[in-house]
Amino acid sequence: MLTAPTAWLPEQGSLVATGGTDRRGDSTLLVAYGLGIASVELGMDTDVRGCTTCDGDLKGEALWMGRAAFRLGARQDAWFPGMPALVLGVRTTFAARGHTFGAARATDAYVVGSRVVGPVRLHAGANVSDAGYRGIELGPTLRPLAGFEWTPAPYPKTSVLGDVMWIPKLEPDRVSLEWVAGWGVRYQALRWGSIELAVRHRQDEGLQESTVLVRVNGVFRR
Amino acid sequence: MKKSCGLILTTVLLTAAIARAQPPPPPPPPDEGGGGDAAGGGGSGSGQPAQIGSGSAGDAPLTGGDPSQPADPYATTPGVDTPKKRVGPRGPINLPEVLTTPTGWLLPAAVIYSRTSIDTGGGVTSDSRVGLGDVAEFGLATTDAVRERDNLQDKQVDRIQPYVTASFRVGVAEDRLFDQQPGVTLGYRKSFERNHDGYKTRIAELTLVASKHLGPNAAIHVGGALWDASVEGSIDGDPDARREIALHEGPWSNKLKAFGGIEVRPLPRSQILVDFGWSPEFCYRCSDDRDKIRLRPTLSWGVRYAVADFMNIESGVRVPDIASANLLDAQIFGQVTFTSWALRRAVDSLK
Repeated sequence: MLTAPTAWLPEQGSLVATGGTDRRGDSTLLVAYGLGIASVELGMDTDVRGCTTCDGDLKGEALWMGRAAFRLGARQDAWFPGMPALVLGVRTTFAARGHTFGAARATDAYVVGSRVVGPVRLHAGANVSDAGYRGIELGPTLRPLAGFEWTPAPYPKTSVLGDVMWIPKLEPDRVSLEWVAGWGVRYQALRWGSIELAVRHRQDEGLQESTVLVRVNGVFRR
Repeated sequence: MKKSCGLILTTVLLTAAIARAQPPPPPPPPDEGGGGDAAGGGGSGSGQPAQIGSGSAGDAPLTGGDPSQPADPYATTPGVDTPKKRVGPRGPINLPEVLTTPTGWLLPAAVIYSRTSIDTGGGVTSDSRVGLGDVAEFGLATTDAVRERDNLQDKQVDRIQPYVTASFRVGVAEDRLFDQQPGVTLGYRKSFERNHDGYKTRIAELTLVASKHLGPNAAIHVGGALWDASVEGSIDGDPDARREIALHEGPWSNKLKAFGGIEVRPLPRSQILVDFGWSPEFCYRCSDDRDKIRLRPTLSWGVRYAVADFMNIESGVRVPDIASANLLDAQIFGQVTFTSWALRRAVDSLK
């Protein structure tokens, strides 16, 4: 989705690439490779934020983090009719550069289910997050995650997206979780490519700091 | 004097040239008795047992041929036809490791195995092995599984790498002795001494593991490991007092551990792998000797994707100390394995 993961896996042997940026210049770049029943992802993003003066600094500092994820799952209806697609995923950091929070790390372990219900695709799950830097750690913390995609019948190439997920926020003396809610539109411009325009709101940032992002996705089959 | 030397040299060269120009002698008529020397007495007649290495088809002597057959030393074709064994390509094999733990399967004879792995913790490891006669294998590897910390409150547990190990495994293939017999291997792995931050450490592991296929698409591995490790250095906090402590000095429960794994193949080219093993951890400044060397449980899960018969891509998650439930320690790893029958084909072609 926009922030939350789904239970969709890339097809075996296919490569999925995503790149995006928002109005602040914070960006994301992700490449996923399908292994049939699993996928491995590699990329970087600025989802995790840190604030050095958290009283006045509403938007915080974007932390560039290298991310790797492994997702293992079953496709929709794989085991019994009506079964949602299920994925067990772990995402962790392998590099964090260019910010004041040295040795920052963040790890997510989640279970998410996705199911097509008519024109809507629903996603729901639970995420255990942990993050830390320089000996300050959050500890494993459980939060829900959810999202939906709605493709109206008159516009088969257009989907309305919405999701919510809790992600770590690094502060001078502690690490907390903040929710991030996003909504937007995906337009399937090409058979192998789509473009998304969305807005993301963060807890404690206020409406004026919400970001508008644009993202493109491409699927390359072997 | 010069003239006589030149004459002698010319004579030698001409003689040699004439001798080289002679056609090879015709082969003698075939001997119904299976060979025999010129006197016809001491040969290996049909009623005599064949000598080791000289009689069976496909196992012709590697050099010299049949001594009873005069051979042309200048001939460009071999004097003895050596029937070639089938040296065509072979298919995939059962691999000697699940993700981090050994299996009860050995590499086939003269098959070379190589694995290179990277992970999000910055670890880079490699493992190279060769199968020996279908009953053993030898390998050299680097591992990043050995970890170190200053004390038990230290949240930052670092890995000592590269940690070079050599391994030797011997065993019996699955179903070799009787039906439903699991593959069994006895393995020994030992590290070279590692000097890191003023501490000398070593590890060794003796494993016995059994592996059994449960139908065509599943397999299970169960084993036990006897571990040993040692650390030498200023482990009491006094920089002038160096001391060595070893794991084998402690109770059996600290060094004898069970491990295992499962493999399931839901798709023809993809396998789900889960394994559970143990890794040594050194705690240099822990006050209690029992805490200075500990074995920590490691849980790994992932997928093996067969790109080709000779190549697999594996990826997954490894939690080095699952007992501490530290999610930040989890690593995403990717590794590629290659198996090669080239050496086996070369060996077969020599037979």
